[in-house]
Parts: sequence; C-alpha cells; structure tokens
Amino acid sequence: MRSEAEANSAVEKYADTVRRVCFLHLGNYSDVEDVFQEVFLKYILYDRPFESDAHEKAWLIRVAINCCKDLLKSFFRRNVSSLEDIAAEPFYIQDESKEILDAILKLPDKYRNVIYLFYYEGYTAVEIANMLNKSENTIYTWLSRAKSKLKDALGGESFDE
Amino acid sequence: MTNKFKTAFDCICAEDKLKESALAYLQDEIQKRAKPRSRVSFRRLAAVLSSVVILILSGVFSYNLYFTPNAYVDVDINPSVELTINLFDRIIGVYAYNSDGEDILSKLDLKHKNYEEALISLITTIDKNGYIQDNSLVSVTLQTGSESREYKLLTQLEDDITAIISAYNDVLQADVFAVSGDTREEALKYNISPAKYLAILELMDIDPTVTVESCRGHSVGEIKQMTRERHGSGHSSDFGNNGGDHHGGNENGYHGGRE
Repeated sequence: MRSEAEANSAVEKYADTVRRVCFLHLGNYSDVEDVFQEVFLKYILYDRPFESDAHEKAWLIRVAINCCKDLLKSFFRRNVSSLEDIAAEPFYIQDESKEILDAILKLPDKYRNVIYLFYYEGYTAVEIANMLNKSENTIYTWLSRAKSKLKDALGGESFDE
Repeated sequence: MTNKFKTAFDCICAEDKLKESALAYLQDEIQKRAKPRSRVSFRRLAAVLSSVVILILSGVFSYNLYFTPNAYVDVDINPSVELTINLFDRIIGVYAYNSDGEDILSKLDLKHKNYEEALISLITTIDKNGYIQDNSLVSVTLQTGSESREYKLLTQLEDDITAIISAYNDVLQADVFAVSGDTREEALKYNISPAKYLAILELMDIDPTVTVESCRGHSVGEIKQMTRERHGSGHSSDFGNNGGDHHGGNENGYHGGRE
C-alpha cells in the first residue's frame, strides 16, 4: 500500500485530470466525490510500480473512466445533466467554452472519452485504444463520429487546427 | 478549435473541497489498513463463538424481520397497484386495486426484488401494455411508520420517478408524496390507492355530489382534471354518469388477493 505522502502527491498532481474525467460522465457532485475518492483509494492500494509519470497518469485516467462506468451502471444514475449540477462551486467558464463543454456533454459517453483524451490530453489513437481496451479502428471511428456531431453542434468549425 | 477545447477543459479543475475530502478519506483508509492485526486470543475466540450462537438464535428473528412490512409504495397511473417493502428494501408483497393492476402484476415477478428494480419493471410493463398515454399522471405514494425511513425512501422515490419520466421525454407527469397510515387505512376501506382517495376528497370539496363510488373507475389524472374544471367553472355536474373517455379498469366487484 502506498504511503500518505504518495497519496498527497498523487492528489496534487492528478486531481484536475481525474476531476475532468468525472466531469465528462457524472451528473452530480456527490457522485463526483465518491468516484474521486475511489480512484485515489485504488491508487494507494495498487502496489506495483509505474514505469513513468505518463504511465501513472494513463492508469489513473483508465481507473477513473471505469469507476464512472460502474457508478452509472447502478439503478437510475443519470448522466450529465448540466454544468450547474456537477460542481461544488460554479466553474468560471466563458460563454464560448461553455458552449463547447455543453456540446461535448451531449455526446454519448464513449465519444466524450475519446474527444477528451485525443484533443485535451494529447493521446494518440493507439494509446487511447490501449487505455479503453478497444481496437484502433474503433477509436478512429468514434473520433470521426464525435467530431462530426460536434461540428454540427458548434456551427461547422474544423477541429484539426 | 483544438485550442478552444483546451481553453474549455482548462476551466474544469478539482475543487479545493473535493481534494480536502479525498485526502482526509485516504488518510483514514491508510490508518485503518495500517493497524496491526492482533493475535487470536481466547477472549477473541469466545467473542466469535458467542456471535455464532447469537446468529443461529437470531435466524428465526431474521426470517420474521425479512417478512415484516416496513413501507407501502402505491403506484397509480391506471393500473393501480401497491408494493409492500421490507426493511431491506425488498418487495415482500404485491397487491392490485383493479383488474388492470392484476393484469400487470400477472406479467411480473416482483417478489424479493429491490424496490427500485421493481418500479422500473412495473412501469416498463405498464407502458408495454399500452396503459401510458401522453400526459398520463404517475401518482406514487409512500407510507411508512418512521420519519427517517420516510425521508430516505421518499427522496429516492422522487429521484427514481424523475429518471423514469425523463426517459419518456416528459410526456408523463408525476406526483410523489408520503401519506399517513390513517390515509392509507381509509383508502383501503374503499379498495383504492391513497393518491386516488385524496384526489377524490379534493374533488368532493368542490362538488359534494361526487362520491368515491362514482370516481373509482377514473384515473387519478382524470379526477384531478375534473377538480380543475370544476374549480374553474364553479359548478358540479352528473360526474357519476359521465362515462366519457374512461381509462379506468373494471373495478366493479374486483377483489384481488392481498399478499
């Protein structure tokens, strides 16, 4: 089991990353709190060493996605409803960013993950495929469909700048 | 656009409150798991053996406890049914107030299911059998003897029913509330759900010519509509003789078995 110091360090380094994954999937702050705690609990109970910081981060993202999925499988959990429901305090978001985030939140789960991992975290399709246990082709398909939906929702701007 | 994504997601950060609660939780977990296990002692063994004996002796008690009603959830759309729930949130009894309710219950096996799971099955089956129309009203009442239990169950029922309604793109309306034991008892005397009983009382306040018997064949939604109309028009009518667009099941002489 990892130490308290390691736990503190991990929370400090990866809190925002885990929070963003929760943001993509969870409809209320209480669920976010549960998953957030569970992810870092799994981290401290995971005994094997990580090869690198990148490996550690990817592991945490994968665990966070799986924890969100598990929570959502229970009865009557709603998916993301609105930006206002899912934070303890309001996020300070400009209108343009709000529009983008709202559009992303309206995508199916699997598309939200790939959009976030590809465009924000900068993972390649191969890396995303490994993280999500899917084939590379599936990831490309999801990315393509997600981009198409976002393009429709956001007025036709290109994504690949 | 990619930059705009980054800007948008950069706004999403872990709240200080979230990090603090997680760190406190992790600290607690680390300390709990770090405590050394004590060696088995005679005292501990005696404690374990006593627990086993108590468990065996409490077997009968637990069996009885399992089958003791703890709460009643009535769902009246039409069909009109009652689910009896135990302390463990399991269905231990089902009852149909009308033949439509009997029809639905005959298609389901809800006993021993978690009540939330049972609610999904119930409303899904009601829908599949064509009982749900646009603007149907789903009336759900809860009766339980304990205030804390009432609070917990009512909160969960409200969430559950809201989630179900949202799946119907809001063409359904819902009314979820708690009733007293007295109200349920009074409703039972007429073999109608508490929601229908209260809706009829409300209508009778405005139109004294109305009786429970004249209303029982109408859905709660229809009764409430009648109340709104009479409230607006300020007159009573021959409600009992107005067959109208009648969605209620055949209540005459129906007495489903109460389990």
